[in-house]
Amino acid sequence: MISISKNFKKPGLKMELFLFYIFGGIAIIASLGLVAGKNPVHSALFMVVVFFVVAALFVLLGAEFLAAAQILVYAGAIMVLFLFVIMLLRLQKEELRNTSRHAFQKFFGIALSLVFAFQVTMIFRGSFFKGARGNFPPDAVKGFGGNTEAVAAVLFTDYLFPFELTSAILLMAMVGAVVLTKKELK
Amino acid sequence: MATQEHYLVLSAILFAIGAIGVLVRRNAIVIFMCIELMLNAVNISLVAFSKQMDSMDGQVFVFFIMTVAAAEAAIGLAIMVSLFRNKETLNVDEINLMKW
Amino acid sequence: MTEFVIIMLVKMFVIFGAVMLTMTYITLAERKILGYMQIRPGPNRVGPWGLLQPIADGIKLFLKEDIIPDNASKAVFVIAPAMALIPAVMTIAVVPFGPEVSILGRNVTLFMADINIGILYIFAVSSIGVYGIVLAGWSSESKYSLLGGLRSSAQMISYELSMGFAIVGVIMMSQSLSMVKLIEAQKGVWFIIPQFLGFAIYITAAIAELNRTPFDLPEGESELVSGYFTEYSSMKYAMFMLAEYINIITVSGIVTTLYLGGWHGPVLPPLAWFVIKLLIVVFFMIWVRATLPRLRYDQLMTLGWKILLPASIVNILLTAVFMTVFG
Repeated sequence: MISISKNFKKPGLKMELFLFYIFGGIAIIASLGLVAGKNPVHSALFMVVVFFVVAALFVLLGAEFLAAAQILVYAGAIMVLFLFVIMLLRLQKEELRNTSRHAFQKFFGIALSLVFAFQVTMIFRGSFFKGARGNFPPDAVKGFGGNTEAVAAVLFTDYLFPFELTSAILLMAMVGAVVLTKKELK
Repeated sequence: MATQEHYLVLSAILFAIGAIGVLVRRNAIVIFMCIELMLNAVNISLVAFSKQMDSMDGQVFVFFIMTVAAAEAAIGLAIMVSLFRNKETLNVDEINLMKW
Repeated sequence: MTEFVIIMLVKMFVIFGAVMLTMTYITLAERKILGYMQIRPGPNRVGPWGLLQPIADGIKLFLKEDIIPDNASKAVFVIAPAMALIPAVMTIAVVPFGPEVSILGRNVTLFMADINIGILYIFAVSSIGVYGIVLAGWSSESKYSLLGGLRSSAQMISYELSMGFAIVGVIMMSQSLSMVKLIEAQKGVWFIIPQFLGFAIYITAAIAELNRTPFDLPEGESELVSGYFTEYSSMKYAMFMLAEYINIITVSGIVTTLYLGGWHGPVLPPLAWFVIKLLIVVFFMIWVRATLPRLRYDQLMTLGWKILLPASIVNILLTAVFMTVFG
């Protein structure tokens, strides 16, 4: 990176690095548990752990409003929906036999994903990000009164139209979900 | 000091693990959960960029991604429920007929 | 730095201990008040006025045999009560019991933490409380538990919406999400007066969230044996009960903060006012339990979706109009 923003350069924050490693470690272990768990309910519970850890990382990055929204929306609503569906459909443990018709599919899947991760990491380590700095250095955020107010200042002025569009998307989702699962009364 | 690089590398690792899950697992709901994991990995990198660039745009994007992910989860699960009602299985290898 | 840590630890123990003690005596108070409202004395054998009853209950629950059903998934069965108790206790951290006071020459604030997204934190943490119930209902591998768990969690997520919208009215009037600033914004007039509709909605939704009568069909003894904790015994059952009663205290604390002016009051110290108002709200909830009959499940869902949700949206609209017109 050519120049680190003032946000990232504060003295005496070894604790933050330590916390980042802890949260990152938990996230990776939980996501491995999610991918490898045989019982879908165990996978769902690992997913909840991942959501919590991501919320903690958001707090470390100074985005408290997003952390609370992450727990509210993802951990509190989406995963409950997943758990409902898993329990109502009474899904069993996944069978161990290989039902896929492509040979070595799992091997190639894992290998290519790892190559992808390696490439992305190499790109990030050796690159620099130049771009126009925005208007919200930490002092301006404090001036607004905190992270929530700063997000609101941008959300309701520059991004008002997408905000209204998301309300339309949510309405579509509600109507679609009801229509798809309605049972025909014979 | 956890720099932006740290967060981006973590995001890449989580994304790759999610991609492995999508390619390897056969249960449709677990595949869907791995897709949500990939979305979360992207959220982390967006917020890290937002902090680096002193801008709130990244956080607003994450807000929209969360909303759209919620809508997508609702409809995706509704589709899976109606699929299960018809086919009695959620193994993606066995849902391989275009019309039956 | 060490002084900060020591103050935090002392506060933690004091607040947690006080809430636990209050919770055990609220179980006794509930049984006594229900008894007197039903023209009977309630528990009065175990010590004068039954004051040692909670201790006897605790010892009994501790010494019971801990049964885990055979087919149950052990890990999930054991985690479920913890997932019900942890959010209940996490909420105590942001309830503001009193302003800054000077104890032994140091300024300590009488709350654990004043985060600037206080209300959002409470809302987020209470939406995790659903997990304990859903997992308990599923992992018991019994039809009654599964039905009770699904019903109860559907009820909880339905009433969360109205709760959230009712809170939005208060946030609009106080211009801040932090709990302490909310109380400071009520110096002039308590929010219950401009937000009476929101108060009614919030109290109703909160009682539904707590799975208390008249909304306790999921644990109604005559319908579903015991709902989602049918298969639980001994300390795991005690943890569910602990979670419910601590939730009662925290919800009462939140109602006091949001609507009843927090620690403002004429003569007594602020902490005393907060505790008095909290106990009044708890008494109100016990009174409601003694008085109202249980709602049937479809009536419950109708109330949550068709009555409370539109009413809370109307409340937001009215608050916005009121604030624009009167400034």
